[in-house]
Amino acid sequence: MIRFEQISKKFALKGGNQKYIFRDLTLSVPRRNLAILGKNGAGKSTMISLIAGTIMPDRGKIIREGSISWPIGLQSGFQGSLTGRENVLFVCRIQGCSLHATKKKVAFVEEFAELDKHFDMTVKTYSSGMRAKLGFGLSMAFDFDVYLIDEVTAVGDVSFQRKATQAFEEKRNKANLIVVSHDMYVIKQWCDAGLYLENGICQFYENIDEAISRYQAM
Amino acid sequence: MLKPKVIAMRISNKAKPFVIFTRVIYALLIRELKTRFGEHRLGIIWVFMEPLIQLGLFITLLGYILKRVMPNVDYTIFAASGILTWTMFKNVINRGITSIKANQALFAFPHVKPLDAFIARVLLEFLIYSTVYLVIGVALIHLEYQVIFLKPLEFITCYICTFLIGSGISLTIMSISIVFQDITRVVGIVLWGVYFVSGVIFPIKMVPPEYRIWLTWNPMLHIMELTRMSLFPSFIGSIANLSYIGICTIFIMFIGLNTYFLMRKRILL
Repeated sequence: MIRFEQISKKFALKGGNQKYIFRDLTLSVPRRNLAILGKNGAGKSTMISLIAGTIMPDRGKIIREGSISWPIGLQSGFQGSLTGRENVLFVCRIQGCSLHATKKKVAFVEEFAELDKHFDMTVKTYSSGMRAKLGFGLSMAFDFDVYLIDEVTAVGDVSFQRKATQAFEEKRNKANLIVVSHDMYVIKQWCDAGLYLENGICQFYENIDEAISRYQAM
Repeated sequence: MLKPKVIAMRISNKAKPFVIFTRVIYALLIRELKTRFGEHRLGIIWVFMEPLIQLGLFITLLGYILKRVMPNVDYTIFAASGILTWTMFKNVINRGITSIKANQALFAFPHVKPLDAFIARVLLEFLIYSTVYLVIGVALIHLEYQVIFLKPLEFITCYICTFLIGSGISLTIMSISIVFQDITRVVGIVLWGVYFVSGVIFPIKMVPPEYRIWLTWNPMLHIMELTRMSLFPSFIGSIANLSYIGICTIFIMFIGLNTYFLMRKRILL
């Protein structure tokens, strides 16, 4: 379970003003396959980052139970000056994998991401599609209780998308997803509940269709 | 009935914070090492050339004069001990400042915190330049320069304090640069200025006493004097004070960690 307790997060604007994204927000993120919907700038990505713990709230605390993935997104965390393989090794070291597990994970990512020779080239030479494939493959190599996905599912060619769908399908039995996407087709496919963000207020919709119609009425 | 069991298992599966910290530092050290020498082809040579060029320059420029000022002290060893300590100090500061920018992408992983990137970076610089120190020191001994370790413990204390002071300063500047970028531009110039009043290449005795009072506030000067006192039996320091170095180290580390603590939420990831 993930709980927000009186979370405030603000960003500085030009001219010394501040914009609150969330103000004293308290909520329990339900254990569902959840879509986060809202306008641009409503705080969807901020929410994902807060859940993951990559940004800190200005006030309040977040209680997390179980393992939560890093935000899987287009700006996934790869060091440009390292090769794809070295980046995968880096993540394995952080997660504390044994030597044997590391070998298996590297082989899995190499096979999954289909980068061929590029896997041993520096990440800064990658196209955005290749980067996303690597990021996606990497996150699939680890088992989390909750996967955070930030606008990434519509990446790659058709065959890769099919593969990604299949990988997700396997994970879905054991894990939950929290998805940010503007693609309603993706949302409908993956999520069964929705969270609509507007002006720092979260509205939970038990049924994903209701959430989508609220989003489209905007 | 199954539920408590599941939760207990989850908690025990979660690694302890210190274990995560060591893993992240280890991973970042390897990541830094892979790119540290890769940026320029001459990387690994430059690490040695930087202090050696300075050493050669100042031996030719000042060697003759200082032989008269300090007849009992071998100027080559004198300058080498100062320059090698300073090179470590300078590089810890300069590389530490850029640690956030250089590792920005990796903060997408929640375990990796900006402070970890900083620690890994300054630690690597410390290791690199300590190796350089050792290699050049051994080379000098082989060239039959006399090095007597009069007080090895004081020498090591000074060296470690240099590292800690450098880290503290670097952390302070790095944290300030999160909101005030321009500060990083001044660092290079200020460091050059401090270099000449820290007694790196000439003893502070050469400075007239009326100015010397002001210079004694500089902890690096104390470190340089104490380093020389631990190397040369005949070198008499005029100001060196070990407890002042200790207080400065703690104070500067405190400032650095505190500035980071205040600024960390403003780091944009």
